[in-house]
Amino acid sequence: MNDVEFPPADIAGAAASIGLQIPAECLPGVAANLAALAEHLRNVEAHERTA
Amino acid sequence: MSLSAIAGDVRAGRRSAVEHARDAIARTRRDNPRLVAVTRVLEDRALAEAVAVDARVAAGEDPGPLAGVPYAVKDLFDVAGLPTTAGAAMRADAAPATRDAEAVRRLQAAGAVLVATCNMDAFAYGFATINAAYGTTRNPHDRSRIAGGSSGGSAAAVAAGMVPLSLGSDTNGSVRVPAGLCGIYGLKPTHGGLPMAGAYPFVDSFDDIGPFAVSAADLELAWRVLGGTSNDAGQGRVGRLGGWFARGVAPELAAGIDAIATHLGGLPVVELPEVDRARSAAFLMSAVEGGALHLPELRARPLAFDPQVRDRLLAGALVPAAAYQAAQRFRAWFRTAVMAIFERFDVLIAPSAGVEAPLVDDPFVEIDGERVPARAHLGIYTQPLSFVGLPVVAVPLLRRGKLPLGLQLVGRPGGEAALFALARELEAAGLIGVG
Repeated sequence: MNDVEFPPADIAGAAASIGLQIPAECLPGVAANLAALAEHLRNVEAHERTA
Repeated sequence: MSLSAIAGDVRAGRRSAVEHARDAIARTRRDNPRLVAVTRVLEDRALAEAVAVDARVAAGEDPGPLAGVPYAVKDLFDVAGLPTTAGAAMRADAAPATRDAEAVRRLQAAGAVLVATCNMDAFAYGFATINAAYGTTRNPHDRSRIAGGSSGGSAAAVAAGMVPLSLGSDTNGSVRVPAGLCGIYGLKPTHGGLPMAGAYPFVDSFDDIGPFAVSAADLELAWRVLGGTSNDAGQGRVGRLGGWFARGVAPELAAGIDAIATHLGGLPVVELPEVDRARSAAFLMSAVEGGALHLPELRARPLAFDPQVRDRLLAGALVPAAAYQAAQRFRAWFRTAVMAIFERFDVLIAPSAGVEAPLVDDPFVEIDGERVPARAHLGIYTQPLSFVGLPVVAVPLLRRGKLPLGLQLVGRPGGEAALFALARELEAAGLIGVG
């Protein structure tokens, strides 16, 4: 997927780049959801590699 | 009592719309404290609408095919004079809607009487109707279990008999999952087939609205009143979905599909390609579009969001555009593949939730022997279908005295007539129906 790092290693930094400030209490949940979304993305991209 | 029977009585003057409205309000007030299906009872509006229907009957006019039918709507439909909460406490003080949603307007024009708004997962993002602000909707068949979501309040209100008709919305399964868990009928129409105006969005690419009812005929009547049309003749070449759609299904549900296959003289097994990736793409698109929709409020007051959806929306806002584009490309490929299958079939049968309703205090489901959170996994059989805009009639297996199990009758875009025709046939055969 181009050269964008996903999920971002620096979640707070990635959020700040779009004007979001993620409360500390949300970071674990956001990280878990990003990891799940990254897995879904890998699954979708696998189709394009095999198509 | 069917919708047409209620309307027939009202149109003939045998029973007034006001009586029906008062009864529905009384049932709702009696049952809602233990079910938490309804967020607001609209007594003044309901009685005013009912009086107007009765006045038309008295004047010799026809109030319409739903004359005096009480109904409720998921709390994401605009109702004039009320804030549209979309199940979110942070919207409880939103500016009141200035007009009714188009679907509400059409039901009112057909004589129906709006009596309540219904509970839902906040911002329609969930399959459980576990809502931090408005409570957890309980399953009328067993109050220790969830009703499903996100239109759980609308489904529970019909299943409990508060109202004979309600409206929900379905993006990834939010009509079909609660219909299955509550043992009633629900419709996810062809994408764009029913009016979305005045319905609070979630994922614009595949949001739809749809009714809940207790019979195939009632569901079809509501769909037609709402503006539904079909481009088929109701003839059906039927198959059953295998592969992904046969894994992790409750044995009694699989047996129910077997019985339907026997009744229909055998059903070919059909496999859709790469369904797991379709589900992944649906997850990605939902997260991205949901995150983008709520980005201004996520920036301004993230902690005001329901904790059940907040972290998912924040994560969705951080997904790069290239990921969304990859999901869209996959969707285009998947849609083409699915449409090719619908050149050979008119209706495909699949599970809806696949399991009985999970416990409120232990909201997990077992998929292939693995315990997984119900919130994310109740939609495994529904997400890949709505993702490409297919119409689905959700129907309950007839299981008197048991917890409900539900099926999806899936059609090609514009193929609702074949779905309703098959639902009526299976209902007449005693294979599906409200227990």
